[in-house]
Amino acid sequence: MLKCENISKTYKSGSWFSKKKEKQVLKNISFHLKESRSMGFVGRNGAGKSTLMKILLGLESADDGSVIFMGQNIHNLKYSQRKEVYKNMQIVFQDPQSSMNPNMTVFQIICEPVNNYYKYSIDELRNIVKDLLKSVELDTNIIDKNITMLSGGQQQRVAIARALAINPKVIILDEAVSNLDMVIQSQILKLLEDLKEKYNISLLVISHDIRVVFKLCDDIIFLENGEIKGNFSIENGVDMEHDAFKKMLVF
Amino acid sequence: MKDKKLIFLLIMLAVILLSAIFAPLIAPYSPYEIDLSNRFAPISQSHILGTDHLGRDVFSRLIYGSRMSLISVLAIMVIILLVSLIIGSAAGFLGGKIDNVLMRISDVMLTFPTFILALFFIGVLGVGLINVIIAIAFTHLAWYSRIVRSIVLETKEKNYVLASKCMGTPTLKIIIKHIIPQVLSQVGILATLDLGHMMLHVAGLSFLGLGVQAPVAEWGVMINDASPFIRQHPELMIYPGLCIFITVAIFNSLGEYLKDKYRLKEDCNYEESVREPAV
Amino acid sequence: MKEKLVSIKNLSAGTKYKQILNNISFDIYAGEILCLLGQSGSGKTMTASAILNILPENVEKTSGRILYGEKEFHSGIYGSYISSIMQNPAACFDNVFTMEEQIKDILKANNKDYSQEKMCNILEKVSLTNQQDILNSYPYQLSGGMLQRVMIAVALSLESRVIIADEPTSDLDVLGQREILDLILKLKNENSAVLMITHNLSVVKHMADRIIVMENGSIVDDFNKDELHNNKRHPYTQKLIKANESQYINKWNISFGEYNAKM
Repeated sequence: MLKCENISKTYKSGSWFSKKKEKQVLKNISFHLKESRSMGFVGRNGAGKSTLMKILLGLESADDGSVIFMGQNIHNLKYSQRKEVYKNMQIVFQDPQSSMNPNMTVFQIICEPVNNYYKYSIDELRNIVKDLLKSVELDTNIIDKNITMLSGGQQQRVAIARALAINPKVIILDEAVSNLDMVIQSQILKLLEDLKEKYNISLLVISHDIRVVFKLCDDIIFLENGEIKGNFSIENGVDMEHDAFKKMLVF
Repeated sequence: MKDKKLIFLLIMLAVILLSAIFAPLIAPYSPYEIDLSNRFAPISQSHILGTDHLGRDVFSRLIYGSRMSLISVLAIMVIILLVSLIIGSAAGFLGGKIDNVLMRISDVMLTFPTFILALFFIGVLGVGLINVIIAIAFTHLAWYSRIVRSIVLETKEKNYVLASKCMGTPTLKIIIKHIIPQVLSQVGILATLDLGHMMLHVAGLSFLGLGVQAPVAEWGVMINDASPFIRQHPELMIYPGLCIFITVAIFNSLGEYLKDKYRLKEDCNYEESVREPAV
Repeated sequence: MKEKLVSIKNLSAGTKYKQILNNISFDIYAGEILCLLGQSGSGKTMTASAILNILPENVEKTSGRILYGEKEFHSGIYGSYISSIMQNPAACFDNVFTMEEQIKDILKANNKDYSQEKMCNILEKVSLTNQQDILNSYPYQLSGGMLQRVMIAVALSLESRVIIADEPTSDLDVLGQREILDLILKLKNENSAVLMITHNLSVVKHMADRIIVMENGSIVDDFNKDELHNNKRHPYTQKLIKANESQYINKWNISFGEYNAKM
C-alpha cells in the first residue's frame, strides 16, 4: 500500500557568507507497508525518524527516491492534488497541545477533516463527532469545550479522533504517546490496539520506546543515524542478540 | 462585577463614541455658527465652556471634533490592518523572493522617523484630512507588515497548521481559519495600544495646519486656532488638549488591559484543566 | 537510625480555588534514593517546589512545616544543602552566556574552586568528553542530554546533601534516559540523598530505595523497594504496577523482563 524506495535527504545550512554545512539525515531508506499490517520505526532522537515522517506525508521533499502511496507518487503531486492521499493517510503528533489550534473547540477540531471531504448539516456533524468521541472513550459532553480545557491524555484522544474522522487506511503516530505519563500512555496504547482491530487501520508508529512499537506493530525497522540497521517481522521474530535491538532495550 | 477597570474604560469609550455619533443631538449650537459680538464669552448657562475668538461655542466644537478624530483614527487603523495583513501574510506564507523584496522595502521605510515621513508625504500629496490619513497609514505600514509577517512565520510552523495540511485543507482555508485569527488576536492588541498614538499624530498634523483645515471642528485645529490667545485665554487650548489626553489615555489603558488579559489566558489553563480520571 | 536530611510535616498548599497538596508528611534520609511516583496533576512537582521554597505565586502554603536538618528554611541552604536538577535543562541555562561563565558563577557563589581544570574535572565525572569545547559553547549548541549532564555535574560539584531531580529524563529518548539515570545512581553516597520525581515505574524500579506514591495531592503509599510486589500495596499502587506491566505485553512473545534480569 505504502512503498518507499531509496529515500535520501540532506539538510544544507549556512547563509551566503558562512561556510555551507551539509548533514545527511536519511540514507537509502526503503520499505514496504502492506495492507492491514502495522509498521514501527525505532531510533534515538536525531536518527531521522521525524524527517522520514515528513517526507512520507509530502510536507518535505526528498533529495532522492520515491514515496508511492496507493499507486501514486506523492512527491509528483501538487498540494491541491494530494487530497485523495490525505483522505487515506492521517497523522497524530507528539504534542497534542501544539497540534490542535488552541482557539478552537473539540467539535471544530474534529470537524475540520470531515468538512474537507463531505458535506453534512450541523446536526449530522454533531452526531458524527459524538460517535467519534465515544469510540476514543471520551465523554460526549466535552464536545463544546475549548481544547485547552482538557488534560494531556484527553487532548491526545481528541487528536486520535480527528485522525479517525475520515476513515483513513493509514495513521502515522509520531511519538504519539511519549509525552504522556505512564498510566495514560498504557490507556492510549490499549485504545490504539482496539481501534486498529475495529477499523482495520494500518499504523505507522514512530517512537524511541521499543515497548510501544512492539505492542502495536507487525514489522519493525531500527533506524540509526539515518540508516536502516535492523528489520524484523512478527513471523520471523526478533533476534534477541541483534545489535540494533540490544541497544534500544534499556528498561 | 469582576472587572471594574474594564467596565469603567468601556463606559468612557462608549461616552466618547456616542457623543461622536449623536453630535447634532448633544451639541447645543452649530460648531460653525459665528457670533462676533460674543467673542471669548466666559463659562455660562448658555455656553457651557464659553466661546472662542470667533464667538463659536467651544463645547459644540469639542463634540463635533471627536467625530473627526475618531473617524480619521479608525480609518487609519482599518487601512493599516487590511494592507499589512495582505503584505505580511504574503511575505510570511509565500516566502522566498516575494518575502525578500517586501521586507527590504519595509526596511527602507523603517529607517525614517514616521512623523518626518508623514510630513514628506503630505508635502507631496498636499494638505487635507484624506492625505493625512494616507500619509500616517503609509508610514506605519512597514511596522505592522513586519509584525504580521513574524507572527505568520511563527504560526506557519505550528503543528496544527501541519496537521491541517495533512487533512487536505486548502491553503486559503488554512490561512483564514488558523493563521488570520492568531495574527488578529495579537495585532489587535497592538492596534488598540497604537490608536492613541495615531490620534496624537492626526492632532499634531492638524495643529501644524497640514491636516484638517481651519473652519472644521477638530481638536488639533482648535488648539492651533487658540494658540494666538494663549496668554489671555489659555483655557481655549486646555479643553481640546484635555479631550485628546483623555481619549488617548483610554485607548492606551484598554490596550494594556487586553495585553494583560491575553497573557493571563495562557497561564490559567493550569487552573481550569480537568484532572485525568484514574485508570 | 539514619540522619534525617529533610522532614516535611503535615504540609498543605493550594490556590484560591483548589487544594493541591493535602497533609503531606515524609522524611528524606541520608544515603537513599527516594522516588516520588504519581500521575501528572498529583502534586509531585508542587511538593518539590515546596521543599525548594519556590512555589508559584498563586499557590500558598496553608499549613505544615519543612525542616532542613534541624533548621527552618533560610536562603543559605541553596547549593550547599539542597540543589535541584530540572526537567527541561535548556530552560535552565541562559543562552547569552557560555557554559563556562555560567558554571563559574554557580561555583563562585558557593565558594568552590572555579579554576579551568576543576571545571573540566567536574564535567569528566559525568563522562563528558571534549570538556574544553563544552565550556566554550553556548547552551543552545548542546543537545538536551548533554545539558542535563552538565546540570548533574554542577549539582554534584556543589556536594549538596539533598538533590531534587524533577522528571530529569522525560525530555530525552530512552537511551538518554538510561544514561542520565545511571549517572544519578552514581551520585548516591552515604552522606547525601536524592529525591527523584517521576511518573514512570520502570525508572522507579531501576533506581529507588524507597518509594512514595501520590494521588490527587495526598500520599497514598510509602514503602521500600523490595515491598513493591507485595499484596499489601495500596490499590492505586497496584494499578500503577499493572499499567507498567501491560506495556511489556505484546504479541511478539518477547519477554523484556528476562532481558532486564540478565543485565
